[in-house]
Amino acid sequence: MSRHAALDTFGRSGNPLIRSNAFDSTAAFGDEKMTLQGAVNKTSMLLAMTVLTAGLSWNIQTPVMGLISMLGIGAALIAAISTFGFYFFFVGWILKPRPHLAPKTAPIYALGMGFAVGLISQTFEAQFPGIVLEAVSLTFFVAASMLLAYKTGIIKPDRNFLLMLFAATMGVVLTYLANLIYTLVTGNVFFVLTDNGWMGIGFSLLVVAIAALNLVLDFDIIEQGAERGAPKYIEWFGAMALVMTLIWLYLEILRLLAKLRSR
Amino acid sequence: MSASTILVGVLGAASAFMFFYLLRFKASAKQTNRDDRINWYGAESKVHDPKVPVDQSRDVDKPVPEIHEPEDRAPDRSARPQAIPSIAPVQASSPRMNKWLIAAAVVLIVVLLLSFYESTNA
Repeated sequence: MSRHAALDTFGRSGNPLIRSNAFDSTAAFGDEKMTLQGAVNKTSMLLAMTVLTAGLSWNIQTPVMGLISMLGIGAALIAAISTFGFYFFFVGWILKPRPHLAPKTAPIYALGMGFAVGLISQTFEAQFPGIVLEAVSLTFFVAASMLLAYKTGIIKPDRNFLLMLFAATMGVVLTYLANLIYTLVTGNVFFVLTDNGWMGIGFSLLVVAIAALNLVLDFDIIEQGAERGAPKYIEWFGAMALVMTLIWLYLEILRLLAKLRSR
Repeated sequence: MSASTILVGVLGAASAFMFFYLLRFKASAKQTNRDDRINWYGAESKVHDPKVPVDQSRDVDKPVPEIHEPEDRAPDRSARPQAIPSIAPVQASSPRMNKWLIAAAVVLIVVLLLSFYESTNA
């Protein structure tokens, strides 16, 4: 054991994701091992669940459904935090990641987030007809392109890639958190998030790019898990991470298209 | 339905098919045979022996300090429960976490039931 507690906790880097062995606690190699096919099946199942509840909240527009959607989002957040953990700057892991919970939490997350996706999509569709189809198509187009780039080795995720992407993703998360606080206090929204000028569109493009690059990390988690014979539950974990990024990417593309259309 | 809508729909369907089709295949050697890959799972070897805890297998090279205890004073180590190593595989979720999960699942079930109730009354 090292004499330095910080080194024991984080390794050489202070960033919990940059340190090696990110899934050490999950590295139980039992009899049942994950496969690529299993991860694909689970991703399909989770996406189907998301579409199911998205369809419900899309078609039924009542105040009760609004409340239901909020509850669904709450359940999805609990599921996501319990699986991926909760990290806070300077404090460390408030709740450690528990990938072995993914078989239970992934369906809860997918069903819960479906309500949010349906509600948001319906709102955008009412304003800009046809925008949802475009956003869904673009999401899959981007995802397929990133997957092709990853599988062929055009994009090679390494530690520097992870470091930069983690910093960029945290930047986006903090911007959204700051916006939330700003909205609660002043009732307004950050200019850059709603602006349909070049600044707003540029910001949206940047966030779409960050979300798309996050897909590469999800592919790498799944690929490496199958390669090393990781436990079966990593299939659910990888699928959940992938669906989470796909939903984020979809919502960002939706926002970008809305900005472009409102010009 | 306009031609552009059909085109966008076809593009989306083809992309979705490509996505799920490509996901099944292993990445190229160019991607997998690299020294600078992110080590997500922390194992040097490809497959661990499930009987050997991960941290024990890593510390093979470290010298083990010898402990000399008189036989009559030596504690019965077989009876003592083993401490869970910090990076030992986690097999079961904690009861506290299970409570949260059950709560989340209950919320979700209520949400789904209410939504179906809404859909029948709409």
